Amino acid sequence: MGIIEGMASGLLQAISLEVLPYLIAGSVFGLIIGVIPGLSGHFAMAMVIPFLYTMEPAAGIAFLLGAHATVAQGGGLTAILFSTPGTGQNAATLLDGPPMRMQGFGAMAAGAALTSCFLGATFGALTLALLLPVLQQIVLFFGPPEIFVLAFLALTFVAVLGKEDLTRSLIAALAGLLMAMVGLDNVTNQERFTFGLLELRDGLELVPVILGLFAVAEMFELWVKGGSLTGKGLETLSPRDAQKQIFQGAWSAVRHWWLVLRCSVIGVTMGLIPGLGSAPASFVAYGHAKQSSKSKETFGKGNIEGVIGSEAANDAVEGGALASTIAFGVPGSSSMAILLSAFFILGLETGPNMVTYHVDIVFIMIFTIIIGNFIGMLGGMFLVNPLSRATGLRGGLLVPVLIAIIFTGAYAVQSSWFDIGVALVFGVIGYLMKELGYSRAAMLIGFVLGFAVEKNLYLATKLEGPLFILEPIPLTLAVITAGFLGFNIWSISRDRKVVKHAG
Amino acid sequence: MQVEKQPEVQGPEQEVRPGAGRDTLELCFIAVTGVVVASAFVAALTYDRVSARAPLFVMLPLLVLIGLQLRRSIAAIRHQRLHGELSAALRGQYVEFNSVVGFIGWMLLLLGLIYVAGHYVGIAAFMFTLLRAYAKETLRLSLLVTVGVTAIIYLLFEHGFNIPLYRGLIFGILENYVG
Repeated sequence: MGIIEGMASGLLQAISLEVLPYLIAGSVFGLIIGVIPGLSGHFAMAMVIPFLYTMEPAAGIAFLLGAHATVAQGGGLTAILFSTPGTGQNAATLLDGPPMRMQGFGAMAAGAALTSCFLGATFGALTLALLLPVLQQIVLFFGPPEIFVLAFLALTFVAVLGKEDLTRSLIAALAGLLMAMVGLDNVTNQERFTFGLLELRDGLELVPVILGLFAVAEMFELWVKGGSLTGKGLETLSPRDAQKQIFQGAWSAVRHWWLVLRCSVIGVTMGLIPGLGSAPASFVAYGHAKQSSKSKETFGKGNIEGVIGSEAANDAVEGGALASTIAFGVPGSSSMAILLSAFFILGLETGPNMVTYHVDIVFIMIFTIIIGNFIGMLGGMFLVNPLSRATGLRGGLLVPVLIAIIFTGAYAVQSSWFDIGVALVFGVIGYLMKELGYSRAAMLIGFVLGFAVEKNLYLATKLEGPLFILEPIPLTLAVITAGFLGFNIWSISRDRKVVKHAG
Repeated sequence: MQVEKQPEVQGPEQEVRPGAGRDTLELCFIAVTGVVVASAFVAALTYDRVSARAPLFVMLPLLVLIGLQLRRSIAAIRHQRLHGELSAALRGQYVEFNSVVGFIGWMLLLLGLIYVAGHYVGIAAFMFTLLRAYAKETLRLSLLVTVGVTAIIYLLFEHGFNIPLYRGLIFGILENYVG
């Protein structure tokens, strides 16, 4: 399928009556989840996953990406209105959003944030579309040996660049890989690590593991926290004044188009690098906005450019992150790992097959991101007051309801009671990992990549022999992986020595 | 995990080190992980060469890293503190730990309820009890939320997605008896 044909087909499918309602439902769901502090984008995606089994691929992608696309917009609103980031990626918005609110320009900051998110996401999605012809050429060089080494490169990047400690992240990544090897071996039909449990013969199901690691684990935190999710109430403006300010903020984001563009480039570039994610991108963009501003001294005191820069970058990241996930089947973040799991569930295959023969699916993703963010922007602009009331929900009220829904989702995948237990066990593991600083993203990426790693190792040794690693591309990737890991271990030990001497 | 500082546990003469409870928790976590991975390693040695290759390739560095992390955790904690903190946790002196264990207990109860009484009865009983006992919501709101959410789940799964949810052991026995 050609690119133009794929683009037309993707657009028509994305706006068709079979897909659009799912996209709208997903976007609204993501916006609400984003507004509620403590519930992340991963949570929104994890909750959507069980429903995908009954959907057509296009509708499933629209539902999932719609939910993912708008989480950051909802999180930005909470960061500005309550000084509590709805999600981690909105942390940079806290620097200038709340000071603007305190000066009486909260709704203006919200309007600017929502519009910047939409513009940044649109830029990211268009970049993905422009990268497609390049990706189609590059993926042709990637066979089993290359994919095998690339998976380790991605895991190393995730472990090193994540916010968690390196050793803990590597443990999580390798444990994730090992989890994927539970069950019958496809080649020899040998049972592995099932401990005699019949239910584990087909391996660990993706959905209960995802629900456990990212949804049940969040419930622990809400349970322990209890009470209202935000400490402060909303000092609401009159609806008329709020609306006026929102449109002023939106116009301000459009007026600062050059800043939006530069920060979006930062977002897309950082999205291409596995492991970086949107939170660091938004801080780098914030720093850039401050450096390039004529009024540096007002940053941190309520400068709208700070809000625009960080919000544009954190949504532009998705375009870059999607490129590596779609082209190589190697996710760079937990969101992308959940998306990759969704592709498996929907029967879609990433890699050359997708970027060459299913261009329409890629364009459905591109249009979903753009339309989803547009819906999120409109929803946020017109429903800012009702949405902000969602933060008044108490943890004690939310937890029992969400647990009932999560366990139902875990059961529904295979109609298996055992899967509810899996979700519970991984919920405890996920909570402990979060509390102790072990990367859940690395574990999930390892788990999702585990199947590909083993399959490609088998194929690579069959096709190229045991020395496949000495082929030019695998060798280059292996050297980069080893060099990157070695450099980071060296710099960590150097820092420790400096601290020791200083002490 | 944030733990409540307990002077009676630490002793008045001992300094209260920040994150001490966290170190103990991590030591337990990594030790359990180590035992599981070591068992898996031994099991993998008995597998066919092709089936064992990838798991062993992954587990070798994993065991080394777990060993390193275990050493770090042991270095961060003194023996008597480990013993003191473990016994304090078991005696229920850490509020947050109690809360987490209590929550796990509630979820296990839900699991059991679903198994015995079926999905709908299980989630409805779970939601209502927690809303009343834990969240201290009013009877009216608790009933409203319980009935509303159960009805939505029923409509969504049974009619929307055509996925019949588990009816439970009792229903199964009664069905066989009647059938």
